[in-house]
Amino acid sequence: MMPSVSRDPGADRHPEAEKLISPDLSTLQRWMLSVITHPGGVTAGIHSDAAREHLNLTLHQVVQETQDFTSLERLAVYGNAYFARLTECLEAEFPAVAHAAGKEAFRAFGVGYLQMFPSTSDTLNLLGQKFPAYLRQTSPRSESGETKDWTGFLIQLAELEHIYMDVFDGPGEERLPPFSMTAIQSIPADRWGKLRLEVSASLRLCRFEFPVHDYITAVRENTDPVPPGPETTWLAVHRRDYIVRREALSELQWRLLDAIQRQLTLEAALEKALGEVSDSEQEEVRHLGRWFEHWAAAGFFRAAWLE
Amino acid sequence: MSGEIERKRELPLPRLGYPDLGLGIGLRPQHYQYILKQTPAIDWFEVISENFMDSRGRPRAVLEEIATHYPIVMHGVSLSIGSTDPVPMDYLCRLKKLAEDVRARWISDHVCWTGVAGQNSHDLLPVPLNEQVLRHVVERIRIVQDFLERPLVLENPSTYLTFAASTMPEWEFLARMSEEADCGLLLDVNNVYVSSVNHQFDPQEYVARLPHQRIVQIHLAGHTRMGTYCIDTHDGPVIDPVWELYRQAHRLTGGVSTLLEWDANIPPFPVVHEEVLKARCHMRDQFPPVDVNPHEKRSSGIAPRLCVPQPAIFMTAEAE
Repeated sequence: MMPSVSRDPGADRHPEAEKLISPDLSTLQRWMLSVITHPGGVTAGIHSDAAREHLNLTLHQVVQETQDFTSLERLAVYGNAYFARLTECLEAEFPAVAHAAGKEAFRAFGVGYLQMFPSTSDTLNLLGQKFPAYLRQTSPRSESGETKDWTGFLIQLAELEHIYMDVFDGPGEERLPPFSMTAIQSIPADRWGKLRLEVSASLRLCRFEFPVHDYITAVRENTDPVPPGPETTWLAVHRRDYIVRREALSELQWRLLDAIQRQLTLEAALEKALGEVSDSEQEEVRHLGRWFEHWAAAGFFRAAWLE
Repeated sequence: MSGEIERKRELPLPRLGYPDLGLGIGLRPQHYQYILKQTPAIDWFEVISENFMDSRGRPRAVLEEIATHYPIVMHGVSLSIGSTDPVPMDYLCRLKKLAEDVRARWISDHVCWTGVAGQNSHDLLPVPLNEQVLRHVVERIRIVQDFLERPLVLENPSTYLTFAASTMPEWEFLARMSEEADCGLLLDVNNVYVSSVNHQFDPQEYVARLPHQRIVQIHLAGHTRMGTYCIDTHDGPVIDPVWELYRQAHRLTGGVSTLLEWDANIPPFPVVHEEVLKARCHMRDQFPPVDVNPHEKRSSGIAPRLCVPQPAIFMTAEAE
């Protein structure tokens, strides 16, 4: 069955009417955007200074209405959609932050974020780019009023979830021949010190004050985790076969990879990392060879060359 | 006689010369694995351009693989052809590059604006339907087509408001726009239905009045009834009144590429595939043999802010 039929509301209007009530298109667009993106809803948006600066007309002079669907309801579809759509996207990128914060608090963060950093990108894939920075700048409180550790945990969760997104869709090595340690092993041992290793474009070395990676994994597995206490964590996040992988590192491993990533020669990287070795790390040093084999197999490196 | 020949010469080729690709489905990440493993017997895929333009990860790799097996059409949501911001040349460069890389059969977007003053709402916002805006949109389409070196195909969006400044019905705006800019039309029959409820016009008259030679593609989708109005949610099967519009459009166009969009509560690929295959019966002016067409989905008290109109299609990271 077709809906009830009547004439298109604009069809019979005299051309003169356009001159009377047609604002400049740019002005109309600026007005509408300011109204539908107002965090207090479209009613507050219509009465806001920003909207009135653009257009000082009554709503009925701008938007037509029918008996069943008022001008305000019509505009509200767009206003509701703006925040619903974009907070849904943020929740998809930051599911662990949303879990830790709770749905209502997360929505409030989302609305605040969109106010401070409205999207200027043509893709939704970049929507969450500044979300960790927003949380840092505004230091949110939990629904029960907790701050301090909880805030830090939330910010670091957001940082790692954004890194996952960045690594997932950013550059990788999948189209290049895989790097092999065999090439290095053919180099005389006395020249290894002059070797430089280039790390994979997707590799990110991260240090967090909380085990955020475990929490994110638990949320993805729907196990309803509780926020953990502080615990310094070193991570390598990278991509292999188009899937994001993460690996917990020891502090020594992290220092060594960090030095390699900074393009130091192997000799200089080892000196920098091992120069600071603590007593408890001495045992670890014995496994150095195996580390490199594992990192190479895992895809941490893309190339090597001699000075 | 010579006048008649002259008129015939002026008529555009059916579908502007673009092929009738058959029945296709909007490519969504939830179906990547199935498509790559099963290579289902679907005629073609439509992709959201913005989700792939800058991708250097799995989405782009999957698209390139799928493009070796199926024709690809690119459907954008951020061209913002009705905006008063400058034409986004950087965006067009990336769009053109992707179209070349995946050998896109055509590039489409919507008759709308998505933002202004550099801000993107990521929504398909309506334009006033009047002479001033028509001139503005036509001029921008020409710029875009010159750059892309191919006719652009533009879709009628679902709309929820009419500006007081509108002076013509949407079908007239689209007809004149496509003639004056020499572009194609993507007729979304679900959007026609949704807008006809929201603005109380006759959807069959709308479909009848369009320049059918310029219709390159048809979209099908589901929507949600919110009491007195409808929202274009793409979260369910196509309802009978929308199929009726499809049958009408099929008769009038003589057959064009048809695509089903399913973007929320996405079921497994075979369910979506089965839904689009119903179009075969409708092309023969028959309803499918079994009563599989549901009634219109109703919101049943869902808060409007939880009912998200499309588009809301984005990527999420796949992590080990």
